[in-house]
Amino acid sequence: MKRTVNHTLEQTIEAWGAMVYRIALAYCGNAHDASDVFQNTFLKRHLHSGTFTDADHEKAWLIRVAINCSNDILRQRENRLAEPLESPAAEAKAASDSLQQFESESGTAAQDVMLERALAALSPKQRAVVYLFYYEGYSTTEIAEIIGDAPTTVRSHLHRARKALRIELEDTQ
Amino acid sequence: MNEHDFFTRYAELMKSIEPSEELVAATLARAKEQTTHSGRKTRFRKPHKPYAIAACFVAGVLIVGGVGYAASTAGEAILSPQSATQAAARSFTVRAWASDGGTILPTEDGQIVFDRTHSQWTQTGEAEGYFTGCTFTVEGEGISRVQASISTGELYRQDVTTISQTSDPIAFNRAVNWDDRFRGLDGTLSSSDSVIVVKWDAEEGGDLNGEEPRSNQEIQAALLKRYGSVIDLALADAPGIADGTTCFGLFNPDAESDPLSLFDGAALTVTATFEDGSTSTQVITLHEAMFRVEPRYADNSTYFDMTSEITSRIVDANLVKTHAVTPAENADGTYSLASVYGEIASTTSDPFPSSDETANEFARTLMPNSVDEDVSLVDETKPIGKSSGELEIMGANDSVAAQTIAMSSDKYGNPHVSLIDCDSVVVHAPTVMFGNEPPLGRAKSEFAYLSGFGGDSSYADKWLKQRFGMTFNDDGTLATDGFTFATITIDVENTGGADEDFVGGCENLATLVVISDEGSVSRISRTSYELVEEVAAPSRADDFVGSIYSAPANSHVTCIFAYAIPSNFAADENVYVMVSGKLFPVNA
Repeated sequence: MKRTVNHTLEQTIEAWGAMVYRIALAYCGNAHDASDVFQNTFLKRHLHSGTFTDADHEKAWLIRVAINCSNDILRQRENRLAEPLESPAAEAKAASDSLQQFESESGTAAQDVMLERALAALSPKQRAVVYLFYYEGYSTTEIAEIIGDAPTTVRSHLHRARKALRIELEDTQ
Repeated sequence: MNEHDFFTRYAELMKSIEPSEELVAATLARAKEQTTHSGRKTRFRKPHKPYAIAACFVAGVLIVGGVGYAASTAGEAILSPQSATQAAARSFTVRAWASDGGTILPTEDGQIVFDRTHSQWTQTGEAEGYFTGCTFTVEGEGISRVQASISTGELYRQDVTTISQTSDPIAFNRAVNWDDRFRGLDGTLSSSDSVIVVKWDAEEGGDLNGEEPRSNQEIQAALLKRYGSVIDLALADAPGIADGTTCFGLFNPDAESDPLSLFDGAALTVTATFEDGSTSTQVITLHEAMFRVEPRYADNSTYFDMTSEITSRIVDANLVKTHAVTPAENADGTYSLASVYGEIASTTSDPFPSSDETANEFARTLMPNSVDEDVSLVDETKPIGKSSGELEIMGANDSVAAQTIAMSSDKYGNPHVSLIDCDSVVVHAPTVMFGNEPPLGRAKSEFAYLSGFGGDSSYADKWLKQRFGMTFNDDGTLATDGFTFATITIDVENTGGADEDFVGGCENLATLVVISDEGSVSRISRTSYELVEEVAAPSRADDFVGSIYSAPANSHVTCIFAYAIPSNFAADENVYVMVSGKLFPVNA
């Protein structure tokens, strides 16, 4: 029998609020925009008329909507500022530089700062894919399904992020 | 930093990020306000039948003439046909497709709209360009040859073929997990630059990596090959032209540019040569535009599946363009997506205008791997940021507490990960054996790392050779000089009265390091994944951070791991095994 979930908005935020906020922060790069994304995402959830077959379904829906809302914010920001974005090569170099510092620092707090800098130097989509892969535990195929990219594209984002972060691979993704 | 270190740090960092109570309260207040004052949002229409990605190939747009704009409301323009152009002696049709063939386009509006709404936005490796997903077929009675050229950018060829998991498992795995390094390997996909699965036979999206994957699955894969600015194919060399399984796409060779902008204003020239020798040529002017798309929900999908159906309705030209695969949501709740459409500028019976010499420039040249090809023999060692003075050197009879990762989840399934000391689980001094004989007498086909490559030995060989400059013979011996096998045996003892889990994998339990003359500690880079992984304990599969083994109460668990490493370390007295931050001499 098909099951559905029917969380209240409070329950939904309790369950997935941190995840949505982290994705938004990863994508937008600042708390102000992340807060906007957070609100917009859960307002859409509040107004969503469809049903979810289970908690995973609802979770995936929220991830996708959060990314869409983040994209909207980024586009608006580009329109407002018309600032040239860092080239991918420059981003990769910044990430690599930060990681070199990361590895040379011995203190945990300093390493966290360096890690944050290295992550900040990734592209928004790379950060989102890293979060979904490493923290939420989704496979690249699942991430592709959720965010609507081709699996090869997701793997490309992950590959580039790993390369920028200089993570030594332990698997064969 | 290895992946384990990264993951641990990253997890700690993520756990520290939470929305503020004020933000949550404000969100709830806004939601309450919305409910009170603004009612419900307009619903998207739902299809009558559940959407399946495995939609059959359906007809696209028939060209009957040029196109123009008709004024409409809301700042949008609707493409509509103009008067028919002059007829050629023989006719053919350029038909635009979604790359997965799973869309229905208007059939009477007289334009070519390239639908790329189905996540077929393939970007190749760094600095290689984009297979845009904007594809078209050339259809007509009696066509014996197709030639096409584009004034800016390039074209690619796409052939759709069926691959069976049972009869061609290597090709199946490569297609599903396409990696640029599959290029040029033997087998079905040997001459492809990229491969995309466009259809599979599982229901509702076909979870290829599901808990119960089907063993007899079939997929339809699109094999993509960059051809250059001019394509020239005879029916005899590409019989798929006749039935539509061979089509052509727009390739942007500049990965740094906007994927589609290059084609705005480009001239696409297509010539069909018929069996009687006559020709017909169409020149089609391409334009980039933002198109309205109709979202649609999948009733029974595992995930929220907002696939979309592109329409011929061009949205406000001032609307910012996005080149994402995912349609962008507009302020009014509608969705739009950048794509390309074409207008027929002329139709004649002229022969193909371009020179034969420039045709199929890259047809026999595979694009390079996106992964660096010059990283072979990666650094033999990597500093870990510690000096020998910071690390305690242990004796042959010492043992240390195992460090392990505790994983849990809350009631919603959110992961919670933390590092803990497992005091009751100790690791005794490991032993390391070097030698040129295959570890435990294993043949290459029995090496553990092959499973990580899906048993694809050709791919594994290419990967090893490319990354580390070494390979193995089939009997398991080393095929490259300068390397040796290192076999590490680890005795893990659970001294407590209860079963305990510990994180497996040699990299987590024990690491081979070398101390330089200056006292800095560096990890010795392994030149492959585990060749042998023998653990006399039940393991709990967990591909999130690696295997987790179970140590029964009051028991010993023996773990044996083998690698290939540069042979100069085999007799180096500065080599140690690092366990839980403490050093055990190897060649003392």
